[in-house]
Amino acid sequence: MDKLTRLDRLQRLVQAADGQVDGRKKLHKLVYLCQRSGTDLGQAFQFHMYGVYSPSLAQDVDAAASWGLLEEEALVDGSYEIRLPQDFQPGQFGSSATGEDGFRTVRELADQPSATLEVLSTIVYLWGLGFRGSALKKPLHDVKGHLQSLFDDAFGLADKHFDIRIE
Amino acid sequence: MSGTDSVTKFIRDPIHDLIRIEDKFILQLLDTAAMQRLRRIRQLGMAYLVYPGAEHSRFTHSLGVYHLAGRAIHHLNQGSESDLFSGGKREAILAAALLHDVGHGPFSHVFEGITGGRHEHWTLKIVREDEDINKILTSVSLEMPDYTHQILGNTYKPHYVAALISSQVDVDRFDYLLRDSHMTGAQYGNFDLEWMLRTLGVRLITLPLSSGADGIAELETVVVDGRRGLSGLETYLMGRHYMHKHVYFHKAIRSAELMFRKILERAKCIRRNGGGIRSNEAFDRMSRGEDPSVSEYLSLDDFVLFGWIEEWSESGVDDILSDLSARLVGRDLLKPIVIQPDTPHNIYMDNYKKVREMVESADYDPDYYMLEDTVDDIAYKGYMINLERGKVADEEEIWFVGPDGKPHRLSGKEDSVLTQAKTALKFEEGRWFVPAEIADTARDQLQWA
Repeated sequence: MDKLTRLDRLQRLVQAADGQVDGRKKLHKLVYLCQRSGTDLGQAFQFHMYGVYSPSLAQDVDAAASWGLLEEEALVDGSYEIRLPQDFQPGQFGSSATGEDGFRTVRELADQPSATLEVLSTIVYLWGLGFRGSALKKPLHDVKGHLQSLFDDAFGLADKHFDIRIE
Repeated sequence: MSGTDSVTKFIRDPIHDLIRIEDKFILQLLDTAAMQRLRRIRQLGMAYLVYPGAEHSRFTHSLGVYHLAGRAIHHLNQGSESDLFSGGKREAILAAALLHDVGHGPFSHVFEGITGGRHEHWTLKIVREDEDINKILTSVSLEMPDYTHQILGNTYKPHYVAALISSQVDVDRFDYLLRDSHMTGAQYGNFDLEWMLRTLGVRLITLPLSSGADGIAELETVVVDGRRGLSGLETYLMGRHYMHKHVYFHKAIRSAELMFRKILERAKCIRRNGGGIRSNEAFDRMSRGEDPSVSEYLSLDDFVLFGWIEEWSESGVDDILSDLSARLVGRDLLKPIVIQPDTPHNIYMDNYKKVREMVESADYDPDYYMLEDTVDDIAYKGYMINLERGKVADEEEIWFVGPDGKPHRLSGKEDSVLTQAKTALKFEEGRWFVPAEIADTARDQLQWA
């Protein structure tokens, strides 16, 4: 996927999140979940300590910010607020029509706390690796045990948005 | 004889001299069809078109990573009071090291994007579903398939086990830098391997949780002893940077790789519409947007694909497919127009449209004859690219132990030669590849400021 298409779809994702995403880590989770809902944004993900992460997305966010296609504001706590610029024009690059399912998922998940999305995206990632049932819970506890209080919420979202059910 | 039995076998290697194999299950894994297939997949994709020596395979690299994983285990345990790799960790990391690239498609990273999944996805699928591999891993222990799978998926705890083969300072990168340097003849990637191995350690790092949750996250990972190993680390990272610049992001190699992708995209389109060109079940499934089975996927390698491309070049079924295939077979590559770094958005857009119009005016389809290449798209990204951009994410950070005995971020070390040199080491932004006659005209006509 070429750069202009990737940046166009990234803008559309932020638009679906009501024009603003609080934190780069949260942005990575939303892009991952968007792609897993069937809308390709051209990003490749790996699993890291904060869950799913895409080096290519990190670089695209830099490119989008330097071109004024997204605005990034550093907050006092060290995190970043990412939002659309005021002069945002939908579809300015023309030819990037794609499915809407992923953006719909983003609209419904954007208000969730970053940590909940971290657990949710980890569940979706492990499911994608072929883990099912209790076999999924073990690695989830291994890597996200410190966020255990959010597991029930995340499993509920996994069921609702990705048809992932853990018996 | 079970997989846990020991043997002693030596294999000659141009980088590590003698590779010693002591575990029966490693020899058994080497003999599987999935591993043997890696002999038919070039480590550096199309790089042999520029560096004639770059004919080495994923098989030799996988052996090298296995060998270095064993050596790293030895050195890390020497610096530890307890065995860091007990309880099956040693066997699991050795298996994962050997199998880590088993999912690569033809011409390595070039094939990614054709199947709808990166090679890591296929590696995990093969390790989970290939009967021979599963049987061998299970013969070591019942947990071994899951352990290996979790290490390759980067979800294994403690984290340092997976970090040894997948992090910014890992034995995968150690081997490919040395091997690619040796085989291409481009010496940029050489670094002091022996010293690097001796300066690795394991430390517990505490980080804040992602926003919205209280507390801290603990990460037990691989670090470099900065009191002894900082110069070695800097040399290794500079070597990686120069290998990116001169080999992995070389203009002719990238042109060939992007042409290969376009050829396969075109062939998929033709097969989807029932066109009569040479193919097989795996490729036909991909053409229909389906995942092939593991055994079907394993039927694809460099030899098979290049044989098809030679046939397609003469098939006459489709002009674009035949032309692009003939160009690749004859090494008649599309030529680059360099996109200047820090080009403002409006100028980039103007130039993009101009080049597209030039391609169309010359009766070429721009979807196949204007190929975009950006540094973001190369498989081997460099730590220095992130450092130069001033943002190294926690996920891509390198940790070193300072004189105070505590772990520190390398990106925060202001007096490092890497930090000081980051502006001088700037990468070009990217290129558009087009037919030679258009590239010459465009270079004269385009304005970048």
